Amino acid sequence: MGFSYWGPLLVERAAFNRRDHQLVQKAVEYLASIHSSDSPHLHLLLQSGYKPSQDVAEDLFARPNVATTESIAIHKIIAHEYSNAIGLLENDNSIQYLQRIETITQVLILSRKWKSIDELDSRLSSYAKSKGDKLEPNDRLLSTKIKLLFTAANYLQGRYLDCLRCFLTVLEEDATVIDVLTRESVCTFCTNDELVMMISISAIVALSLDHYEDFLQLEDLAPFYNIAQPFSKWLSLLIQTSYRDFLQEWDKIDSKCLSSLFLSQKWREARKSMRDKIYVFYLRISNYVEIPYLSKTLQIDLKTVCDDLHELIEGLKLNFIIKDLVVCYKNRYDISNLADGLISSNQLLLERSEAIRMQNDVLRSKVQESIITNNSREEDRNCNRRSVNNVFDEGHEECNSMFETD
Amino acid sequence: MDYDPDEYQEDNYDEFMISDDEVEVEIEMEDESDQSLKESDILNTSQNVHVQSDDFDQCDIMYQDTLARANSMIQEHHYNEAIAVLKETISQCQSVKISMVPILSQLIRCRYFAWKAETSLEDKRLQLDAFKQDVRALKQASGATHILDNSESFCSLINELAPSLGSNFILDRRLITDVENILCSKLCLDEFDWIKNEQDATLRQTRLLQYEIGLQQLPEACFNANEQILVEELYNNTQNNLDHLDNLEFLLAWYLFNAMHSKYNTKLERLEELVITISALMKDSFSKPLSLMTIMHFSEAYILFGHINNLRLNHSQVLQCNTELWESYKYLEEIGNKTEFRDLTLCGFILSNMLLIGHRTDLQDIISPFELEQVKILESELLQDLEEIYQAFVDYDMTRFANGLASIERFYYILHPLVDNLVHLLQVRKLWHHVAMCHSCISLADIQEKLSIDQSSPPSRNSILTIIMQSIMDETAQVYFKLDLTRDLVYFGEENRKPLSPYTKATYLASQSNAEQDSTTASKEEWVDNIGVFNLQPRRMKGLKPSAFVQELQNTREAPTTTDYTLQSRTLKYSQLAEYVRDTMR
Repeated sequence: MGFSYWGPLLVERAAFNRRDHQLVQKAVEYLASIHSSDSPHLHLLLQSGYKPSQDVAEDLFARPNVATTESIAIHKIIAHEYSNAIGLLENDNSIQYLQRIETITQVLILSRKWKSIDELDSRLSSYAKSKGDKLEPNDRLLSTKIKLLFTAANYLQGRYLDCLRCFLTVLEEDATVIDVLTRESVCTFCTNDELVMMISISAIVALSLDHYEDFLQLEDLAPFYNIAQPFSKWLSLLIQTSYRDFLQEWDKIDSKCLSSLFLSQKWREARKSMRDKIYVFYLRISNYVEIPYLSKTLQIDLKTVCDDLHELIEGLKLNFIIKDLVVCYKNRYDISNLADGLISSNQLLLERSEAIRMQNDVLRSKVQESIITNNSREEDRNCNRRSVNNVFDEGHEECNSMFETD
Repeated sequence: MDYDPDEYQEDNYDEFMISDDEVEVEIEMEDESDQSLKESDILNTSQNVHVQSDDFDQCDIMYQDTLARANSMIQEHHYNEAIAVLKETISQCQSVKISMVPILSQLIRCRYFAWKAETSLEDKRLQLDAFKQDVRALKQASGATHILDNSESFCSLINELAPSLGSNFILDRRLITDVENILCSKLCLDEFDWIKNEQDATLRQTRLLQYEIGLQQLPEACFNANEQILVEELYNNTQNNLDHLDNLEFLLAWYLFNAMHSKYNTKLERLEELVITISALMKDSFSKPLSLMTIMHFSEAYILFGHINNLRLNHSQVLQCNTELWESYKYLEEIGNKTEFRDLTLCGFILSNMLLIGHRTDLQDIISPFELEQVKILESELLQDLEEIYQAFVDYDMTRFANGLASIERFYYILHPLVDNLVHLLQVRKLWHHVAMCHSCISLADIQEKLSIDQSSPPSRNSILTIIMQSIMDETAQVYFKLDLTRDLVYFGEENRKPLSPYTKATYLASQSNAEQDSTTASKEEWVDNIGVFNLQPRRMKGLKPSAFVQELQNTREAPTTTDYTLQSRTLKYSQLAEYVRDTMR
């Protein structure tokens, strides 16, 4: 390989691919060279079977030699203290502006802070605007590289159409991006192969089946097709509706994608999307289709097809039902369903109103009962009061007679 | 014209062997001729005495007169008379200080034609000796610099004795495979190896290479030089300017011929490169050699074939191919070429014309290629065959179409992209214009039979499915349809227009958003957009810039689905309402 990874990323990649002893060794040696033992992955690396020499081990735990802000930032990145690292980098004027933006973008990708990347995008365009959109060759190269990082960031968020759009915009602005993608650099973040794959996968996922042919015929994309060999093959297979062959092409790159720190993040999702896209197409054209037929035609194992279709039909509430491994078209909400629903609603309403009526009856009778009881009580009370009054009246009269006697 | 050099082998082999013997004899004679040259020099010097220097004017008049006379004699093929006249004048003018170059050049021309015209071996040998002698005399006469004067140039002499083979690889193979013709010219060129002037020397050298490459077309047993190395040498010695147009034309023809016959794994890159170079030169040039133009246009079409592989041609490719073949054919007509190559071009043109009909049914509005003047005047069996194919195509008559194709099978090796596309087009047309219109339900097996061109090998079930599936993608499906893949049936008709989901994208996302977070909804949206479950209206996106293409795609995703007043959406609403009522009541 004619390139080397950017230090902090070397450590991340080694932690991701711990079986790659050569990579692990390189990563540990790198950490030793800068005297950094802060990586949260360090114990994993040291447990992976690689035994560092005495010197390396001593160097690892030696006092860090941090001469520049940049080297402090690198230590922070390795320690996953991304916010601190970004803070340091933002204020480090010893690094050229675009160089700084590039490093910050890389840190943001590692820390998955996507919103901040969108902000960087606008900072980059205002920088270009301030230069009258005429960048020096070196700045131009850096700007293109940063935009490629944005492209990667979109893939990592599963924003496939945005990933494609981002790349096509770069291609339109700066055709030399194709050269950039064919020359590996010394301090690689995403390899060119990874970038080309991200763009290719994104295009395949984001484009609809109807548009592959138009896309393949875009003349301006010819240079990209030249460097992305499998991509045009995928497109051709999809155009010819050779879905099985296409899926098999993707099977072939499965292990490669899974072993890439970046590609692996969305690879499974992308594959699932492609399977779903193909199922949807089959559902679009058929009333009845057997799951074993799909499994055989597409060479996907039966269980996967079964699970995928269940998820698809139920998740999207499609007008299909699966009955004895046959997928059949059935209106989810057809008139008879509606009638059944209305009848059951009616039934419910009747039951409910009956219940309420009965409750009302009970209530009414209770009320009546209590009225009666109340009434009778009232009468009793009235009676009593009257008799009390009579007694009073008699006493009064007695008193009066008493006064009269005085 | 015949494309297979092997077929010429037997015919020319004997002839060739004779010529080969001749060469050997001639080479043996060379020493003697050197001798005789010296003798004649001495003779000439002695004759010089007879001519006085003050006779210059008189001599000049005679000189010019002789040249003119010789010229007309050559035109009447009276070579020996011309030689006699020229020789006499040469001997009379020896003492005069007058350039012998024009007259010697004329003499060499005569010798060459006489040599070629001779029938007896002995006479041929004598003529060749004399030819060599005269070339040596010319060498002497042209002085130390070996530059001819203005009236005569090596270029024109070489062009007459060994004309550029140009497009003959394609346009007239008889000239390439004529052993005697090739050998004679090559021998002439060998004699001029003393030419010093750079321009003339390059011309001689590259012309010699042309003839050496020409020789390779003869039976391999006799010449094993590596043809490719020779071609590479010629390519490297050829500059991209109009002076080298002959060589460029030769190279273009060579690459085209070998690519067409899949010899030497000829890659299309070189052919493309030559086409680009020559087109650029032609832009600035007033003269456009017909033969070059014809193979240029054909090459453009051929390059296009090479790029399609087994993909379908799209409309603009068919159009381009049609235009190029038509241009090529018109030039062929102008040249008066009646070879098989003309037939091939015509056949390609007619087939591409049929492809241009595409899915149109308003055939009365389409001008048939047989109405074109340049085609009409042709009276050949091929034209009848092509008309038959055309008629069968528009009549959806598979059997007649198959028979028609059999009659042009000899062109299949070049025109297969057109033929394959045409077969496919006819099948798609027949499916949608005939089968789908007449059936509400039909089995895949029956469709296979109906779309079969060759009864012995009908299209596979898979290829029928592919046609049906692709018809959705490219919007060629004329009616709604649904497949029953459990019983291999196809249903056609409006009633098969059934929505995948009762939801629209907006109502679906709204139904999801209550329960979930924004980020999940965003990824759900991305997912439903990617799998295309709600965006069922395809939009054509041709001729856009890549970024505009993606923007258009984005617009498709964001476009609100037109309010669907179908029963389906009303039912959905009532059902949801009823469900809502029930839920609240429970």
